[in-house]
Amino acid sequence: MISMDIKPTPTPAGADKQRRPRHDLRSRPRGALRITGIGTIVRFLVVLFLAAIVFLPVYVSYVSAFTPNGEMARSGIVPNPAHVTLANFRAAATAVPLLREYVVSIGVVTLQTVGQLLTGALAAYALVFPRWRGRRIAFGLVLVTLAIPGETIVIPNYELVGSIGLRNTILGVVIPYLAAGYPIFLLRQAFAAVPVEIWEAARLDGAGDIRALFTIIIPTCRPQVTNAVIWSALAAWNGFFWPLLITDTAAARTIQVGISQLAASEAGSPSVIFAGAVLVVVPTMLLVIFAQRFLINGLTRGVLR
Amino acid sequence: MKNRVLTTAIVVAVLAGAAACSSTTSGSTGASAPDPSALKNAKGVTQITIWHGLGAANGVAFGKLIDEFNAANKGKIHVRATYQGAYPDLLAKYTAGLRSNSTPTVLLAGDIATGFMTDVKKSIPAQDMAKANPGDLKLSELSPAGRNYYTVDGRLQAVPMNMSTPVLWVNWDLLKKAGISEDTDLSTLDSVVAAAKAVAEKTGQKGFTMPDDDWYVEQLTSTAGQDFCTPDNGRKGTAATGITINSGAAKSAITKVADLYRTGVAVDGAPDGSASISAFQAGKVGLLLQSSGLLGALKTGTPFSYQALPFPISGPRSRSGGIIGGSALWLSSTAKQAQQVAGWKLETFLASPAAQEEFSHATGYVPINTETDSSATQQAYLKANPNLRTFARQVKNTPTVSATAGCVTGAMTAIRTSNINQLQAAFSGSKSVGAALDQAAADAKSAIKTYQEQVGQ
Repeated sequence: MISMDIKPTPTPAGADKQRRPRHDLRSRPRGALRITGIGTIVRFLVVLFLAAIVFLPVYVSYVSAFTPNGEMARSGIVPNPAHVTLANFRAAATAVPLLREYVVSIGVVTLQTVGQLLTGALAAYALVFPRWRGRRIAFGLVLVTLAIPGETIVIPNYELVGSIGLRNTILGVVIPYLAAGYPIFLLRQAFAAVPVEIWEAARLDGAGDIRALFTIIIPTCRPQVTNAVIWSALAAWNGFFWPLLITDTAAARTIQVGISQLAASEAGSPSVIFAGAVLVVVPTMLLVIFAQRFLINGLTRGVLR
Repeated sequence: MKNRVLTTAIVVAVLAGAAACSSTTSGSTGASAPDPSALKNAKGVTQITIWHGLGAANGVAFGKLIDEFNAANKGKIHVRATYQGAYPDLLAKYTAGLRSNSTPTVLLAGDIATGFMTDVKKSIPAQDMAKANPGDLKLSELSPAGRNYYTVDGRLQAVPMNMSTPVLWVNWDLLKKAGISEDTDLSTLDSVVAAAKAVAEKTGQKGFTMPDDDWYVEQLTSTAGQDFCTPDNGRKGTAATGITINSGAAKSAITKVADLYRTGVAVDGAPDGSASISAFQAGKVGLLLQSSGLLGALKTGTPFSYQALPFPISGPRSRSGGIIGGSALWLSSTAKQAQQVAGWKLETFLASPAAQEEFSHATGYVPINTETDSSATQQAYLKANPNLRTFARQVKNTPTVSATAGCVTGAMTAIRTSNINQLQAAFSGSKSVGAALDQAAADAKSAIKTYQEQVGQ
């Protein structure tokens, strides 16, 4: 045994604690370092492989969008740079009023995200700080809404929004989604982790509920709030069936509905469809890339509590 | 994509029942097709709407026709055309609109919507409108294949707008490498199977592909001379009760194609057909079954000699042939009478020889008006574009029998979805062809039953 070879030397009390780690290190069986190295490499390769699985379809979409039909299959994974073209984007822009639909989509995303954040924060605050009878039941009801598939409420929503005269308007697109269960759940969990003393102190200093929420609680939970914003924005940007159903003219159409027009033919041109897909995916990718610091922080926060 | 199809299927299913119920209370339709006086007596500009599912270049060409109609009818009729999603989404949206009475004056619905559109009884049959408006569209000018498809219970229900036809796309460079010359007969399924095997064997490339789409299974059935649905494809007064692909000539034809996949001669074409198109355009597959609508996409970036040939048949020529695809114009029975006549004027314009010629050149669809052929510019165009001539000839030469009319049932979307799943299992080898087709038939039977219960048939 290697540890047997090491002669213990008398040391002053206290120093023992500091030296023990070194002793442990030395006493590690021979080859352990090499195993750790191999383990790291294996782990790295696995991560690389998984990243490739995720990245490959994105790569194929981008390359196909910039090359003629069939180029990807012809020249393999690295296409011939001589064939790079913007023709697919031009064809997509001719078939669909991209700019106007982008503007509508941005409007929908803004309204829906702000709405969900406001209703989510107010609901989460009410579920955490003031003490009132039935708040656990209320929270349970919010959780139940997460289990209801969106498709099942499309028709009642359609009839309701139609009956209040909001069909074919941007407001009609966002109104059923101004409150959502997931952001409430996310913010409620975040607020519950804030020490109640902070809230009590704010209240003692004379802050009302709204002021306590917006100046004390929300700034304390910035990562989770960012997380909720990203979730809401992505959901709003990616909506397809509801915006299609509730809008009748191109003026209130979102980009997702518009882009689907590129694929709606019996044998569409795959490269033009990819070009459309790339244009739709760019904002969501940018959002996730720039906000991922908050996203990861928000997701892992509280796991050790 | 699958999710979207499922969502659409759910919504259509939920709404179908309600739509059918409301139709029975609103009385019969078509009994009172308005005559031209309804529009004459209307004051100001009659505003009408048309919903369509034409995407990309087809949508652009359609928009141009609408602009032409609006310009020609300035001060009298104004049409607002809106894209409302691909055919299944369009149908879901229309069905939702039925409940709130917000459907368009004219709906350009996909071919397989025929059964559903007839069942909900919210359209005036084209036959009735033509009778009440003798100065407008002449139904006798419409292509017999188109009339055959959209005739249900002996009456033409809708005016076909665009027809596609399934064809065999051939990469001659690859076939020649396999020793198959351009004068080889590829008109039968057996000859196509043999050619595909030769390509795979001698060139190292794949011999065959097609989209994993039930439309092609329906074509393999009709080109075997067999009705897809029983009885009589649902067209002779009795609603369809099941599908026939697990028996007879259809089963034999589908098995031959499935064997190409199971032995590695064919390459998977993906449900949306994109993989089949990419592989064909990359020169990696010799033979492709696809819609005539592919012509536009092939025109750019196909660096080899290709040609469209008629869809291979496996049954007797007198009663076998392809089924048309495309869409047709359905006129609302709930719109105001002036709007209905204006809508009929629009349908007359869209189906006219000149509009059909223009639309055909822009999209590759086969003109639905037989008079288009008598135009000198059309003849010159066909001479310069032999593939379009092949499409038109195939449609013209298809015998008008129940097999080539295709199945009419409102459960078609659900049938197609379950058939695709079984088809993929059969092609991949995870299930025997017989077991997959039997399962598809059982699923179709229950889909039809569910649909009929919902609409109270």
